[in-house]
Amino acid sequence: MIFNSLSFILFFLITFIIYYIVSKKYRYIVLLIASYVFYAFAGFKYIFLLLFITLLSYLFGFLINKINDKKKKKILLFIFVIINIICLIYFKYLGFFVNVFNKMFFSSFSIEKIVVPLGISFFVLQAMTYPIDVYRGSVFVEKNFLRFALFVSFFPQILSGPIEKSKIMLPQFRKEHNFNYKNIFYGFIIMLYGYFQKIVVADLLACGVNNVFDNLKDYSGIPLIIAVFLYSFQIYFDFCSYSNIARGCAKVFGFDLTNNFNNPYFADSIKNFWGRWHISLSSWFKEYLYFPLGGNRKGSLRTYFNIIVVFLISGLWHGANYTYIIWGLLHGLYQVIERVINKRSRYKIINVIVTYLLVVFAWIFFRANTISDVGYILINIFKVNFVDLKSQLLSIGFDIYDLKLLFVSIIFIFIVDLIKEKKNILNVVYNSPSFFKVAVVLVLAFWIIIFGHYGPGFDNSQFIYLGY
Amino acid sequence: MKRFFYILITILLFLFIFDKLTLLFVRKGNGYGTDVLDFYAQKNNSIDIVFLGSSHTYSSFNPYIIEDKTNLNGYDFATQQQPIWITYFYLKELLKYQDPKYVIIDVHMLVSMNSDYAYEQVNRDAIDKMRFSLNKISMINKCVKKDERAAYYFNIIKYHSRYKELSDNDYDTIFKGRTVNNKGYIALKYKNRIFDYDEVGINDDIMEIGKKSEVYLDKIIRLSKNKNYKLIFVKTPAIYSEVEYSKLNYINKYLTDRGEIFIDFVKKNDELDLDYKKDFYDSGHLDKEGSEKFSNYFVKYLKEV
Repeated sequence: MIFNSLSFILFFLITFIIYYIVSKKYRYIVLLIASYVFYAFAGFKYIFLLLFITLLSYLFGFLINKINDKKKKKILLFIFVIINIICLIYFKYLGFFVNVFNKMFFSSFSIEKIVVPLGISFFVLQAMTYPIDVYRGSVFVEKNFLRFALFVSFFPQILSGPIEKSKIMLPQFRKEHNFNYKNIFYGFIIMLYGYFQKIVVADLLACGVNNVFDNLKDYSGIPLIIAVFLYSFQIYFDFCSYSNIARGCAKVFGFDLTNNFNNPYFADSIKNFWGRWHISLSSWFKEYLYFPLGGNRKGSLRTYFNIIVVFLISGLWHGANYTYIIWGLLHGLYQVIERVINKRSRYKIINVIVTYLLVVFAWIFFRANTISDVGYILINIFKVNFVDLKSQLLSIGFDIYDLKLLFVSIIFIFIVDLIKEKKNILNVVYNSPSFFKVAVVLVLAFWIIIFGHYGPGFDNSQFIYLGY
Repeated sequence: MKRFFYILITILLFLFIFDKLTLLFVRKGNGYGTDVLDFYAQKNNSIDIVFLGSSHTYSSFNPYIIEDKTNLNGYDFATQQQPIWITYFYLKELLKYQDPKYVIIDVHMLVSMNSDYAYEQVNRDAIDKMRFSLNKISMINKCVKKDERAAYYFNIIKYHSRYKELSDNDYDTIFKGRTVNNKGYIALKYKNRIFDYDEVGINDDIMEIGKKSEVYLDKIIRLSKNKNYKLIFVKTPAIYSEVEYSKLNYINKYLTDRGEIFIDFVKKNDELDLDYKKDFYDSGHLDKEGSEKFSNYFVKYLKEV
């Protein structure tokens, strides 16, 4: 059950109604049941993995809290982290590592293909925060297992984040939540905006971008340049939309999730970019990997090393492929170079543009199917010719209506982002006259319904008279 | 209270616009078969005799001739390749608005339907423009495969991408209302092959039809018990192969065993005086002249029933 499906909308509305019907005291149980039902749709057999990860974190959190000896606590935490890493490696990276091993040592080990459980990269990281936070004393031990299970499985965020920390979420799950009109309005608006980003823009962009990246040999020059830039929008809108839908969904139930994307392409440095892009993941890596490695407290060289390690692992977290690792490495190097040079233009716009171009360059590695595809792009992207620009543009796979729609929609998102940079846009909408709020809801809803990229699609040739 | 008012206004406006957009985007059809919107435009309880079925129905029964000769207001409520299960739900829909004296059902699709689900085009023609109701929901549930149903409950899921090709005809549907008024009848003019009566494979063999067809045939019979109308099953003139005719024999037996009226016009060529070389559009469909001859004959027969 993915967010942009009718079944999810139905599931969400049913959960919403039941949640607010039952007594405040038991509302978290409604969410827990809903979360397991939601995850069961993603893959029933992996419910046991989710339960195992939940039990493991709960148990280790309990034990770490119970034991007073600091050394034993540390050993327990170490064992816990290792078990989680083994889980991640087994489900997500084993095939990749065996492949790397075979290439390095000319061996021929083979393993059966393992289906990666949906959301494993997210819920494992989230569950891991609990024993670590308990160890650090930054969260109270959660005795109620059901409440803890909800923290690990909360359905808006289990498949794609944001990855929350136990110290942020557990106190929210402990509170009783009233029916709050403001929360619900905010939640629905964020969700609608998320659906707009996903269904109208990201999914349409994906058609052209996939068309180019999956048939690279047919493209060079301008169409390739456009596809690369469009991908930078696609991945932003796509990922941001999921986070917004998750955030809006949680808000409707009274919970605040991290705003995962804060106008990342307005960043004026790579460091700033990572403070705006996938904030929950960056913050996780900073707090649970970068700081334990020593952060920037152990001299410049060690800091550079730590940054490179963190971004290599971040790359690997995104997927078991060399392309992701190089993407991570690039971002690590960008930041090291930024620190070493330590010089920036006095015009912010120039810094923003340079940062954006560096990010776009790295996206080539992130999106390309293979390293040799990257090679092809880097060689052929400069073979620009200006003959028949319109045909070159349309060759990407969009028609003129798609291009107009994309233009208007991206401008709209750009304006929203500009306002967000200065003001809390949700407050602006909430405090506006009621008829304006009605208009915002209806315009967004029908923009999605009419111009969304969804459904089986219509082709008039399917309907030619059958002769009967 | 003010807040509740605005929520209500939002929901009502949403539903209103959604309904209009659904109508705007839906495919307007190819001119073959009854336009369901045209059916809804008929005055309540104004139809005396209704003809249900597939294209064999709307190309054979000329309601204008029938009305002229009998004073019965007729209507072809038929869509292309309409399976009997759609006919069943059409009959239920019809009875919500009309109180006919005669319900005539052509059994062609009982003969030629070899699957439990019709082609998408067939379902779309029949279902898309029906008013949203419990009858429509159960019709979709019974006629459409599970994974395709959502796009039938809300057909804007299928048609919203037509925003790229909307024409005046689409806008007229919501701003000017219906303009088509042909009582569902389609006069076929083009002849693309010459046939001979010898090609009809009349025989005495019996071949079973699909189980789902039988189930809905029974449902139609049950639905029509104790109703004010006379239910008559027919097979309009067609050039059937031997296999098709053996199925028709099965239907004939099935219906007469249950005490229903069935008239096989395929066999009545002598009485009908159809010229197979001139009166057919193709092997299944009468052309305009053929349907006039047949409708005139049908009127005579109707008076005898």
